[in-house]
Amino acid sequence: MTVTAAPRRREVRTNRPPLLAIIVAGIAITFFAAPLVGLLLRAPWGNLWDELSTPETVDALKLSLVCSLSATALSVGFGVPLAWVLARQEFPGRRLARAIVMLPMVLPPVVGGVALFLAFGRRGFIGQELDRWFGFTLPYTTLGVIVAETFVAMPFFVVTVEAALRSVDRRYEEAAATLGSGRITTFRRVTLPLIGPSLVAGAALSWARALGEFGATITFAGNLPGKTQTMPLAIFLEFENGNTDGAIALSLVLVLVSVTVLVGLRDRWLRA
Amino acid sequence: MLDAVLDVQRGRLHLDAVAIEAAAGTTIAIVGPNGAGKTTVLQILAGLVALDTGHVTLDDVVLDDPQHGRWCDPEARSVGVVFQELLLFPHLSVLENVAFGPRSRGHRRSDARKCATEWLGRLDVADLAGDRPRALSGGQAQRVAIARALATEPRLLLLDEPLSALDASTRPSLRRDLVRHLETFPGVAVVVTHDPVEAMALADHIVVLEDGRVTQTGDCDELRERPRSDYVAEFVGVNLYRGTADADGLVLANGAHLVGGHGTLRGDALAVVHPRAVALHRSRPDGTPRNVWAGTVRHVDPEGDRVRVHVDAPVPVTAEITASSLAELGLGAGMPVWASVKATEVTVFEA
Repeated sequence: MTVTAAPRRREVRTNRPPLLAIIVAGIAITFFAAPLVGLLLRAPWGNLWDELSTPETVDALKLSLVCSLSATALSVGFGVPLAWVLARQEFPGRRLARAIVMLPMVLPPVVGGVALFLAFGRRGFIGQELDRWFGFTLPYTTLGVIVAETFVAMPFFVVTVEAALRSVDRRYEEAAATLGSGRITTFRRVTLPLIGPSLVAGAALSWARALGEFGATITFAGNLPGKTQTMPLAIFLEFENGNTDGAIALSLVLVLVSVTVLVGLRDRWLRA
Repeated sequence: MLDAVLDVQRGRLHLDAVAIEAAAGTTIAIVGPNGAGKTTVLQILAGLVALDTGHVTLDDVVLDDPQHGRWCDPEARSVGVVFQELLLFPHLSVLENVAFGPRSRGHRRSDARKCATEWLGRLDVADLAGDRPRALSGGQAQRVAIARALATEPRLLLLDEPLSALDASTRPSLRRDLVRHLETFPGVAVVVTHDPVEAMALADHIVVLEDGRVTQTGDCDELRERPRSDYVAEFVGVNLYRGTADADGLVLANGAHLVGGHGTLRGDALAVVHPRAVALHRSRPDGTPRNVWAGTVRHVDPEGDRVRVHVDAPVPVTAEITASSLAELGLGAGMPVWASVKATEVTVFEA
């Protein structure tokens, strides 16, 4: 083997810390860290419990939990078959279908709320049928909150699971078939366990997104305490009304949840 | 009983009327160079690849027959597969891997586990039942994969390079066990391999597949005595020559003459010389051998206590001699050498 000196010298050059980039990166990190620090500095640590145990706050917490978990359940229930169809089935318009499913990830949530209203509102083209045949309306109800949150959160589950279904080694499914396992059994006993980590990650991601949902919820379901006022809405209201302590206390709860989800997913995202 | 004629085009591979027939209780080896289509044959038999034309019939049940619109899904076939990559389910224990088949075929969970335990015992890996596949050694994983394939008691067992992934120390014992299991296996077994020892140890009948075609079938002796292609000659380890037969034997393309045979054949012919029939000498040998060539040693391959010496000569030849004769002769690559073969050791046959 002949080793020339040239590559080594080049290596030395690339190893020299790029000062400018480090400074810019430092500014950016500060930009992300500062709001968090602000929140922690101004937190009403002394009466945090009191702030969180007012009836309105407890209602908002409970409602948020119920709605976000329901939205996650719906995302999983509909998302698994949807991801499977997108990943495994060849059909005309598949790209369009995927684009439609992914749209809420980039769509401004408030636009999503307006669009939901026009479809599922009392006068919406589907909503008026729901009203006529079943006598129920979605806007300004807890069910409406769940619909809005599912609309925004499910795409996160679907992209995660679809990617997993694409990358799973299909020969395991073939092996299962040769052992006498039908399609559905194979999916349940082989495919789903193999993509288990992605299922959990997708569900956690969509849950976090549902929990923080604001724009679509307030547009589609309004801001009725105990009925449609979830935590983000309560935070906004408290903040607007000058009750900064209450807003901060609620915000801390959401920060805690977010950090927990992030730590839970660290193997997927924070592994550098 | 298996009866199949396989015709399929997959990318650049074209299986061209590959016929496979085997009676229950027999084992067939499919051998051939890489890319010949061996694994595709197994995939077709297992129902993972569909035929373009032809048919697959197992025990009078038509599994695939595109002309008559017959198709049987893999899960409905009585076929067990030991994949080359094993494909043990990583999320299931060894026991659950083996119980997967019986369970999928409708047994209750407890019965499936009992059956799995029995099969693990038969393959001497009962103590690994609780382990995950990733904790197993190569030989252990191979045994579990075989147990998993056999646990459904299939009528057709397909093994894709069942021993190739193992190291030299675990291979012989597993080969012996596999021979034992195949001897008692009531259905048809098809083994894909490129290892001659494996093919000869396991199979009653060998099908040689080259570039999507069957170039030769027969048992080991037939292949050794009458190899029809360079691949087969290499596979069984004999010298094969192509040329024109005359009264004395075979004339090669370069004009060199190989003396032997009955002298009754004319036209295109093949001749075979077993490496053990080739004698090597440092100087021109006296006496009777009719075939004597001067050449140089190209290289020397040790093979157990014997060595194979490849000699470049007008008639290139491989000799197999004992390690001690090699030492006596003091031969090494690049050295001049004389090779001789008795005329009676040369078999000439029709091409």
